[in-house]
Amino acid sequence: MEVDKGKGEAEETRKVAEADRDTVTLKSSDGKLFEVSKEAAARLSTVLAGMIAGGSIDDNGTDLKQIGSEALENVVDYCNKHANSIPSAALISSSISFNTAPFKEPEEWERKFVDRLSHDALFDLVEAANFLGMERLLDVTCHKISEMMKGKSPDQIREVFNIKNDYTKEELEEIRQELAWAFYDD
Amino acid sequence: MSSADPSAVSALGGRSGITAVDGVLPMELLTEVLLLLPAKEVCRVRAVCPSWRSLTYDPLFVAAYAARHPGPLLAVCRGSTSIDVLDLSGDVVKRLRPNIKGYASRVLYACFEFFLIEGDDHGISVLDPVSGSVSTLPVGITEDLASSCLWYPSWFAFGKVASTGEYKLVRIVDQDLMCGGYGNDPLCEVLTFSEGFRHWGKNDDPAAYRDRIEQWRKVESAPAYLDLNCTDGVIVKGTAYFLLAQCQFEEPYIEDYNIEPGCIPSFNLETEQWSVALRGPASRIVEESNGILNYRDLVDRLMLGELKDFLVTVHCNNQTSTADLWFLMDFENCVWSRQHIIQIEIIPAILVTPSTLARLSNKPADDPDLDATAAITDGVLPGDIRHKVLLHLSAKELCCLHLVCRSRRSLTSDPTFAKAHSSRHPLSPASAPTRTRSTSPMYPATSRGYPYR
Repeated sequence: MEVDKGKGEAEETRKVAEADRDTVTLKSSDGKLFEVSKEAAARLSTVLAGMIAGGSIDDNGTDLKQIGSEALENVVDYCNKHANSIPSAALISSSISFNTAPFKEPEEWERKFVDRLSHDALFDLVEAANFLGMERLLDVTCHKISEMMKGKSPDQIREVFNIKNDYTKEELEEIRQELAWAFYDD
Repeated sequence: MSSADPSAVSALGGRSGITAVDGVLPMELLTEVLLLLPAKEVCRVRAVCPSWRSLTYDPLFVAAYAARHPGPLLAVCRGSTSIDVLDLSGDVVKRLRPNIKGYASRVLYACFEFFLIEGDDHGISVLDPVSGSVSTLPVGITEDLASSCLWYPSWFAFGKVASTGEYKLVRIVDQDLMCGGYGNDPLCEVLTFSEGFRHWGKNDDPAAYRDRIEQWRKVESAPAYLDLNCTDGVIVKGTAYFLLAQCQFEEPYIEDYNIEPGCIPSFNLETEQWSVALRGPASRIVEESNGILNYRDLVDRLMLGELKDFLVTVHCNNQTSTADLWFLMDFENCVWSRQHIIQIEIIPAILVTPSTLARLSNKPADDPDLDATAAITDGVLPGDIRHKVLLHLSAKELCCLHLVCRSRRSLTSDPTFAKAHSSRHPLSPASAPTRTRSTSPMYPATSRGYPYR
């Protein structure tokens, strides 16, 4: 009885301490720990926001088994940079004034952020962003990947995306005829 | 160090071992990426592998793509046998080769359901952009007159009558020029389309819809000669506005017509009556230039347009290298206000609405209920064909416009603006880059009356 009560109090204290902290600790699939601003995490990731609100953040490192350390490092890096470099209000107001604009072009720093990544790191990051519900990071990474497709021949795209060509010669010829204009570069 | 333990690769990772056709990205993320591509690129990646191909033909993908790419498209007669649908970067996103009698010479109107095409025999055809099938409209007075004439100028307007929901096609033709007469007002005729004409030609039995198309009716003549370059009428709130031949800005050319200089004639689609009550902004433009511009400087420098339900006069200002947009704020008192000044790098020598080009807007005519989404869901077309075409018809990202007009990035991000801008600064050889001021020899300042005779 006594012990139970003590345990409960300790739990209570820990929760309070956790609520007071302004960072959360995330743990990658390979066990590495990363600190990220709680405010930025909650604002940029719907999944982390839900976990923070629901109190399921583990002080000793919230397990994110689906995300490798390199991708998680990039996620945390992005959150911290985002918190520093852009006032969120400006971001929101500009997206509201033209809310029919389907996609907001990446900022200069966002472009640089994804440009330095290797293909593998980029593909890992886009999956991490998707898993964590980070809409903007998902947009920026998808945009980068789409850039990698633009102006490329089907062969080049197959190589980058590791795709086996299982069209027959006839099928390919048919597609090229049907969509001829798409294959003639100006 | 970070990859010290290879067994700790995440559940979604380990792609090095994957050689399946699906490649490195899960389908949902691949979809996200493909949605960002311009339409031409989407067509190209169909040759990558069958799974990418079926993904990009998938109705859900198509619907999402259309929603993401609301930008306007242009329908252009290319050569004489094909009609290209272009996005704002100038890329072809769909090529149609309609079986039109004679040659296709001009796209009069375009929306997702149908294009109106004028042939070189002056007949008008309705083209279904999905199937490429063509139906021909009834022959009117113009075709009869034109049978003995190789070339004649004509003006069109196509819009909705708010009170009845009908659509009307207005055609004006200069019969003096055609028949060598003198003093005849330009002939004006109207064709009414009743409900259901959108499905015309897409049904098993086109005749069922043909019955709903009336014959051409001759209506009140246009009050004066219209401008030959600014070819077609601009519809704002059920009224079609036209530019006068601009030699008529100044007296005395319009004496005979009892209208004021700089007047903008308008045709009410409902009452089918002409009005000459509206004065254009020409006098304001001259006034505000502080003596730099006179009326003659405005010849070939003005165009009409519709923007956010306002009638807009576009003044291509050579002095400032700008396109100035004058909005009609108050019809009764003819109050015009210069709302936008757009810096443009290349001032076209002659402002023409290229006679082969029409804007393909997401909103057919002015019916807000019939937007692109409706076109996807209304079940008019067989599913597979519909998806195929709608994907082709979706436009490139609006950000392309930033290339058109960098200095007005925010303005050009507005889709309504984009629409108007693209129709005025089209990708056309007619707008050849030159800064020479145009004083067209076709407008001799001393000639009296209509100068083309």
